[in-house]
Amino acid sequence: MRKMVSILLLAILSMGTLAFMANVANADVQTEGTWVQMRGFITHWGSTEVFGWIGAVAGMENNNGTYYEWARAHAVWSEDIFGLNCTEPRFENFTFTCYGASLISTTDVSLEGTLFTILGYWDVVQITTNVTVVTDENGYITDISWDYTIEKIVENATGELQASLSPPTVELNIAGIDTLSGTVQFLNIMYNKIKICNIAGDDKVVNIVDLVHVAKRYNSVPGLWNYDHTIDVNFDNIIDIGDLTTIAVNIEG
Amino acid sequence: MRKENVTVILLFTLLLLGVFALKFTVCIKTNSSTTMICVDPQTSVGAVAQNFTVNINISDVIDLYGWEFKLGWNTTVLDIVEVYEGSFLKSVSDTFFTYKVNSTAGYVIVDCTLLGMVPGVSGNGTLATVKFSVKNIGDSVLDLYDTILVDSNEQTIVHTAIDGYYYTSAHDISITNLEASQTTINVTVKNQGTFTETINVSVYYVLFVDQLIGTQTIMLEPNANATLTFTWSPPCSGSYEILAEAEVVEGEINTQDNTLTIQIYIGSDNSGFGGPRPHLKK
Repeated sequence: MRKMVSILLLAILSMGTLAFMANVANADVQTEGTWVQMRGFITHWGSTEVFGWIGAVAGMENNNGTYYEWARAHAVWSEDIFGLNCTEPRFENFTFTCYGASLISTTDVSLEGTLFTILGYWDVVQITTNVTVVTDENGYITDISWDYTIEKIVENATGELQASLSPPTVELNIAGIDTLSGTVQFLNIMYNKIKICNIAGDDKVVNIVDLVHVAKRYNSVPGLWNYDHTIDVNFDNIIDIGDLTTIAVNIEG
Repeated sequence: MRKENVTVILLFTLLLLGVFALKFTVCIKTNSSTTMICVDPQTSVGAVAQNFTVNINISDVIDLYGWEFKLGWNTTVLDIVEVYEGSFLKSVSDTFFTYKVNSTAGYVIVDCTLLGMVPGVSGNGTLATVKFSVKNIGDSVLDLYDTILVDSNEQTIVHTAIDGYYYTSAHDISITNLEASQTTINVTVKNQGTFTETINVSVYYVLFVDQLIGTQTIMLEPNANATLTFTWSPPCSGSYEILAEAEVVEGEINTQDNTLTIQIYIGSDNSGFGGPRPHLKK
């Protein structure tokens, strides 16, 4: 009986060692600091019902004794709820209007519990896109082209983005426009440097899978069915060479 | 041994096997697909100071939208010069192509994707061409690894990857210097290969036709060089082209440096050594 117990103990110990080794092998190198990544949906602009996305990433880092904070944030929303949220191409010409807010500079980043706050200066633009759809005699789309105008409606205005998990709400107050509010999709607090370009799959590396994800949506803008706010990594309201290049330089060798 | 002990040992063995199977399942490459990405040619031969290129080819692929590979090499033997996009994707639509070189570790990571809502490409073709320069004598596996193929539905395509191999040609003779005066011509010849070679070195002058000044035979150990002196009597004053030629030895690939020419003016006043601008004869 004692032999049996010894063998069982040995088995448990062996498995424990194996599991521990696997964990050690997979552990990322810790960097000092806290990083936050948040995404959410905008549901209201003042009292008006809208649809939109909001995303932010921020870091509070201690680099060799020097503490610094940084943040990037962007929001896109539209009163045309169907237009911004569409996942299939439209079969006729249309004009689409939406708004974009970008954090231009950061004055403060804070995290208290799960209350995440970014203070800074923001630009807000109105984007009007004219989309021309060409179909063949069978009704299949043969070409989609567009042109858009971007009009700045607020420039370098103070603003505060606040998101929390309890309750999961997000609010963006920018001087000069009504408050944007909505729900938090996720708010991740991390103690490893975040990889903003690891956007496709969960392989934890930036590679061709991420590049293809962006390339498939190349030249798309809000209002087109294939625009994806999460891959507009430079927040310029178009998926273009800037986004591809950002992903490309982050591909890990 | 008691029956229950045997059962316990059996259970323990099965448990361990299960753990290992779970751990290693993800590492096993499946060979069920016929799609292949390979270094072409499979074996490359070059010579020191020369460049050579290899293609990264793909075969039997369906709906390829984007690809990535790493290619590694032996840094003591090779240096990378350039990576060019192949025609496979860009012959169909616009592409985005990028690569990053790590010269210290000796690898390049290359990425390429189609752009926009276009279908992927099927068939066979060249993904990229990689140009190397040869630094030293030696060999190197051209290690094709971490290859990823992605289709237009953003799904990875199962495939196999095949490495290439490079080695430096073992036979290589070079004329490294040539000097001439009105009476003598000095030719320096070097054995850059790895075998001892018996080399015939000839010197000509060019007037109306190539005139042979003389031929000497020399044996050189690897990496050794020697200067041979040829005497000559130019028939008249004027401009001469002097050509020295080491006969191509068996198995030699780099024959460009087996000849060297210089220009010399022979005056009536016995002017000194000429040919400050030696150049390789094409």
